[in-house]
Amino acid sequence: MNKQKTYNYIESLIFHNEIPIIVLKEWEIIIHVLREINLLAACYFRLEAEDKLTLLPLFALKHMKSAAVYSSRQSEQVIFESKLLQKILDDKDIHAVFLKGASYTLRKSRNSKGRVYSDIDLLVKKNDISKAETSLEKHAWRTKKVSEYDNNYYREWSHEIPPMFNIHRGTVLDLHHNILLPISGREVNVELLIENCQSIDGGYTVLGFAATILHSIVHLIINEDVSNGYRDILDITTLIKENDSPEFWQEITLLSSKLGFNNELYLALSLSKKYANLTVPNNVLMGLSEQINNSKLNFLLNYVYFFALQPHSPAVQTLKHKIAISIVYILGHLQKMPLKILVPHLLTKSFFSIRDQIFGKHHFDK
Amino acid sequence: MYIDIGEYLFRVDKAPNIVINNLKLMYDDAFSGFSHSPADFSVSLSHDSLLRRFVKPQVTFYLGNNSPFKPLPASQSYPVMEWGMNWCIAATDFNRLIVHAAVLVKNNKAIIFPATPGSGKSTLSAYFALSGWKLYSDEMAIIDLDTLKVMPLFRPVCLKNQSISLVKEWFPQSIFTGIAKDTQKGDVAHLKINNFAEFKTFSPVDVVAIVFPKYQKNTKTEPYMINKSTGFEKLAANSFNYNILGRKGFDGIQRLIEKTQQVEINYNDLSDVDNLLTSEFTL
Repeated sequence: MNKQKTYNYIESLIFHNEIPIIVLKEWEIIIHVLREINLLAACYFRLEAEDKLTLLPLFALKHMKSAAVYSSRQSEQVIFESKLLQKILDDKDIHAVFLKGASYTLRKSRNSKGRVYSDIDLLVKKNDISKAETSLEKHAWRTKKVSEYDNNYYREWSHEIPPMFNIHRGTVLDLHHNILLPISGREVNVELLIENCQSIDGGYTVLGFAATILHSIVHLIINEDVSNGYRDILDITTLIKENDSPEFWQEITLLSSKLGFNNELYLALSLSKKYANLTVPNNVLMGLSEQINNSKLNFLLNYVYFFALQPHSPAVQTLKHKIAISIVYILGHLQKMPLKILVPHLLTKSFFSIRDQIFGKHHFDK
Repeated sequence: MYIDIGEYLFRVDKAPNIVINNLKLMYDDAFSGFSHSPADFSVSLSHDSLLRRFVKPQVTFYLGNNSPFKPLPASQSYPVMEWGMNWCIAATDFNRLIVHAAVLVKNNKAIIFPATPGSGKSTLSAYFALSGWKLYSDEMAIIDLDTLKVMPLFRPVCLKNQSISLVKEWFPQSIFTGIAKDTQKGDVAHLKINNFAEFKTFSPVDVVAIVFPKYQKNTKTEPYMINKSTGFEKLAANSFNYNILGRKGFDGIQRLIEKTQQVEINYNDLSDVDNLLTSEFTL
């Protein structure tokens, strides 16, 4: 199978639940790509929902099923940890909002089935951060050791503190006080976000659906690392399909105007149309078009993001994918930081990266 | 290249020559250039920096694009490959219960020897396997959660330190890789047991006992029955994926404990252990 063909099969399997008609041997590459982009379990649950599991060859089924067992265990773990975290912070009168993966699981949205996590993301008000950190430390959460450079980066410029982990269970927690770096100059009015929160079963607070989707979009587009980009587009399209209504579209466009994310919304919706045939009401895209620089965004869309977000796997990637990923790496940084901070930051990072290429990645580990 | 270990098929995309040569030696016909079946894993072993190819060379194990371990000295390439393969199985197979253990079979009955510290698991595997038992695994027991049968794996035995010379002394004809010195487990060498053709006649079998051996210098070989709850705890503690399987894992271990006997054996002579188990379980 050539790369384009492999990609086409992956796209129709992931976004349209279409099982490729291929010989058994060719499933090898499909399963390996799905494993690399962490979508084996998601495929399992999506096909299960459409009663299509029986159409899979046993080879594919066994790998998807195994991944599904793992992801189910992870969502149990997320629910367990969230309960404890909620209690710890509640006791100190800290209002915490569950973001991203954890919020999908807690609100049981369709995209949470089969999703795998690396951490739990929580948003608290900025002046609650150190109180939250201290009370978490009393309950076996510790801050991960990061290099001095990275620690300063987090504390001075970032919208989150260095990741914390639970010393008993190893679960990782990201504590945010904003959804974007303050230094990007696009720091979000957190009060406005918290106004858009909703309370769900179990007493947890999560962002409203429109805000959840917008956050997912902002996190995807204003980011130098898009290695999970394909998964993120699946999240976004699944969430939108679950909430598709005129009110929803009104809400998300209003919120994106208020917060200044029209470019990002336009890009993500167009990408979702391209990959997943997502139906976006015409007036939404037209409305957005009037407020943005169309030609620049369409170039980014068609020549950069369209390739950069495709599965990060050698089985589908060609040179144009790699170039697109490098452009996104620079764009993502540029969007986050002004040049006077970005240039020294990238120089430091590339110094370490060149050093690692010469000596091997872990030569200087302590 | 492909490695067929029975339950799993590995595709090897890249590996240093020394690894390829050892794979040929250890896996004979199971190591081949083509396979009609889809591979479960695509793995490779590569030098991760230009300088490191020449100065203190290091290798990194990859499953697809991901490397689960830090790079290790190139002199340990072959053990890194074997350990990487173990990792692939333990980190991705949640369809069966997987226990860190040796599995030996006689008369179509399997005994599981969990890898408790001081058990001398691998020495025991090598001794038994070269004394008439069938080696189903030196490292992991793959247990079907429905039938509770244990599956055969086609893998060499990984011997450490003094065990290497002991086994060479006991069985001078045995086939070994070279010794990789100073690995995280000390000096390591791999030992071939079966031919692939012999292995292909092995099939899943029932488990009759879970045995926790304990090597002691001056002791008479003596078995102690242990109670079921201790047996459960010890088996669960040695399972790679018990905590992921949840209820299914709990039920599986419970059923396995109910239908088998759990024995602790203090020994200093493996042939006594062999005789004891053979008569105790009419093997």
